Amino acid sequence: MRKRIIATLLAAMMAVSTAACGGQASGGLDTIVIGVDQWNGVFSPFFYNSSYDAQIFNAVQETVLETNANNELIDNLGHIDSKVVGKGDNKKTVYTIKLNEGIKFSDGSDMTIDDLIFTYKVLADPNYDGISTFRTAVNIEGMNEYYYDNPNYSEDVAKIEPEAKKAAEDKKQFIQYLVDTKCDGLFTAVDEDPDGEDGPLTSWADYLKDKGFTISEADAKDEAKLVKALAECEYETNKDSYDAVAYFEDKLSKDLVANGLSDGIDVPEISGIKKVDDLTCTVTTIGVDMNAERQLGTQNVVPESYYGKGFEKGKLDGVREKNSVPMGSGPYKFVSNKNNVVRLEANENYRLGAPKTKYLAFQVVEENQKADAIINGDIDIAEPSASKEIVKKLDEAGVHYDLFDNNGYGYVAISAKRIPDKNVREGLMHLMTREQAISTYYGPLAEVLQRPLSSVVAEYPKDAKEYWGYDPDKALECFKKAGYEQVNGKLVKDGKQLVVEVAISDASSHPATPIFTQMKNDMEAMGAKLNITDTTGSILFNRVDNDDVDMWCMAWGNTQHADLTQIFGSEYTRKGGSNRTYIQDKELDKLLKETRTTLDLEKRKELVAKELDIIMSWATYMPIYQRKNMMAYSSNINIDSLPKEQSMFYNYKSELENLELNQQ
Amino acid sequence: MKQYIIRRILTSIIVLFGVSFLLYGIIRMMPGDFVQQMTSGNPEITAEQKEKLREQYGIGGSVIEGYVNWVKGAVKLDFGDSFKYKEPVMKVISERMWVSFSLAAIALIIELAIAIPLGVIAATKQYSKTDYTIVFFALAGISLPSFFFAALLRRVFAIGLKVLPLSGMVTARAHYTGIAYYLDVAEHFILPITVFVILGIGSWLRYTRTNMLEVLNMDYVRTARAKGLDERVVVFKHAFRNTLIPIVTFIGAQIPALFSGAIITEGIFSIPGLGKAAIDAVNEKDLPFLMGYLVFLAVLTLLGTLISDILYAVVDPRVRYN
Repeated sequence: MRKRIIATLLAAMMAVSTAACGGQASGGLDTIVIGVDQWNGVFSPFFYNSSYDAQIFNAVQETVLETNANNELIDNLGHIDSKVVGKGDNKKTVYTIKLNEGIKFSDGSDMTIDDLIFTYKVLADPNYDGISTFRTAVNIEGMNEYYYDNPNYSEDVAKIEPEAKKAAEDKKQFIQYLVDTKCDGLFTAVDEDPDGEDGPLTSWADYLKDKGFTISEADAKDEAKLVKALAECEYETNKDSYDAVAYFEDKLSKDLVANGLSDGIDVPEISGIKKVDDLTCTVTTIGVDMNAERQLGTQNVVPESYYGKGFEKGKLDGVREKNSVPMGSGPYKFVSNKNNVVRLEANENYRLGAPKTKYLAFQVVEENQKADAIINGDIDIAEPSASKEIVKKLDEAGVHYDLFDNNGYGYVAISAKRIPDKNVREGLMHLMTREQAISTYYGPLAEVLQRPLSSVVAEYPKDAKEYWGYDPDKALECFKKAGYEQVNGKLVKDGKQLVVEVAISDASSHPATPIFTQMKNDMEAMGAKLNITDTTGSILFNRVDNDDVDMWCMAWGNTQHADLTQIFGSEYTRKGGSNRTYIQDKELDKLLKETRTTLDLEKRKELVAKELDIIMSWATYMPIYQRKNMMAYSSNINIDSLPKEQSMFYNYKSELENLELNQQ
Repeated sequence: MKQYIIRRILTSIIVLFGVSFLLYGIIRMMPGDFVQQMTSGNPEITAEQKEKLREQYGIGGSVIEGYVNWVKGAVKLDFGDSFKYKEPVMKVISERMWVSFSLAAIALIIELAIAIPLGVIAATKQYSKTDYTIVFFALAGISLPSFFFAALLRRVFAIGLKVLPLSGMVTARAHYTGIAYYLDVAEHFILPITVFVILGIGSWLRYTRTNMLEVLNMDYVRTARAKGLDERVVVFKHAFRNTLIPIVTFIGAQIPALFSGAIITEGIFSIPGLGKAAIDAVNEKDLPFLMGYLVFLAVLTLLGTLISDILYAVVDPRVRYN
């Protein structure tokens, strides 16, 4: 019996397989297949966390403005005008956002300005937990009041600083702060040696005695009493080295935002956003900001009638429910997500006319298969990583592809916190040979970058020259200037050898690896040491975030503008901020602020060039390469249906409605 | 027997608590977390936002606190929402499980159908040319790396001969429904299943061969031969039936493997199974999904060993549990 079942099953399998073999799918003329990496199925502009999900919902939804091939903002669903009002510190900018008439969502309902305001409100919601930084990236009037649900937020914030200062002046509160923070981490355990094994002290009792305080033997074993005694000692002898004001500021601001929505909704609207008529609203932002228009104009306008069911401040369940089925006014409508294929269908109501191709399908294709799948005609469009091998393969097969400068760049960074001596950092900068590494790895697909900003950004100084340059002799000079000497073949200072660690992810296939191999050799020849740690991306991110590595290699991507505040501004050196190289430069901070508030491009170019020079002079950031991205099209695609002028900012994705297959 | 099963189930529950706590601890101890993962490379995210996100995702507090919260949901079979897919973990698992299962189950049936007869033949003709040939190919199959073998098959059948699809589970360009849809899926499954079968056949074959050899040396086989029975009857009726005992119990132990998915094969063929989802979850630190997935596997493993122990008693009358 058992045998018979197995035999039947097998026979059925064989029959199915052979029948299927005969039925190769015929190339339908009505479907374009786009091969992408694995998406997560969160096709929501609010809650997505992968760019592949974004590519799919962006085919279904649109924005008020879009970028042209030169990354300049152009009208899409509507138009934005701006006007600066007020003077000096009271300057504000009023943006008037007007939608075009007669735009319909794919369900046939009319798009109104309420739909855009709804989008803003979801992004600003206190319970919003997606990756959008809209709330903090543009300083809309009343945004903090709305987010923290506190109508007096601004006044309360203004009170924090004087209150914190007052608290710091009070002896009792100051000592309590020292007790609470265990003297800002000075104390960790009762039986530890305060100055390490090498120091003369052996216990905390010694430490106190050394500073003129006494503690009984019994108390020295009781943690609470010991910490109290230590706090009093530190207050009397070492008060100035503690930043109590920052501690109290932090504490007070936490108390301030703690209440939130628990006591009901106090601030139902964002005061800076006002509806004018069905198609128009105004948004008032504080100060002048070169990025505000981009932030306001490039959020997806979604139908409130669909996403906003049961929406009120703090309740985003209705929005979340639509995570897997996006809807909007874009050229295509979402149909299904099954078996690693997402199907979209032409939106007959599309404002620019029905799309030329009836169906769009997205299929998951592994990175290494993209080129073959294009050549085979299984998929029609893909973006394989541009490498010399892929270019050769596509050329041989006669496949059409475009190369665009990537809006990002690769760099090597050095932490000024871990290597505070600038001379040492300069020495390291002089040991980086970039040209050879990049040309071997990428050939014509990348070039060496001279300043830490993607060269596709309009403000990038095109004439920038190499700042440091490879020169081992100079490097040695720098190390000597830092106090290092060559003793017995070792480069030492105070008896300690110069040892630097660099962390890199997936070193075996990383373009920057040869730079470090050369650097290691050069350093060894001088008597110093370079430890290359090969790790994974997530561990690298973690170590960098925790200031746990001297030097590392990473890349920035998806750059839209030239505001460098978050990566190089002093304020962002705090834990969790993006300035992990610890550049703290007052002049730079001033320039960064000025750049943000300068609307004139030419003026901004000058400022950014100056900023970039200052950043380079810190010897913490070495830009490595500006590479190219590839978009490849199968022979099924009518190449004439692609946009005439293309870049990473404007390509087939921007004109999906025109895309068509060759007529056979 | 009943008592034995109840006792085993009760101890399994205690084991599950221990396992889940260890898993939770280990996952939380991995460097980095989901918030760091999703915000890395985005300079515009602020420290305050990250902290708030950690709180919202329930990974801000201590490991013990997090585990207690997780257990509170898990005992009610609520494993929370996957961070990555933003959907209930149970839903994500049940959607993908059947894809992995159908691949693995079909492959297992084919493997057994080929491996058992070949194993028997190899054993009966021990040290002959046939035996050596069969064992050679079985070992070669075990030793092949799946990614290499998959690439080879693809180069020949998809790129060279163009008779089979390169990857995926369906033809995206076509809009098949009904029977045509299933045929399309079947066509896409041929290469991955071939990879499974060729790689998996070896262990079953060697297992059958070894057991068969052992049985063939038994006294009762000699007796059967001495009775003058036909060699076929000796081999298939007297010897083979007894070889089945260890094989049947071994199948019980395969239950978790049927559902767990195949990380590499699913990845290279872009098939939306559990194995690929699990490795992605490890890379992106999707805590709720990983917990749900690993506990699911732990349950299956406990269940699998229980079933194989019971089967052992069923097929072998000498075994009694008390």
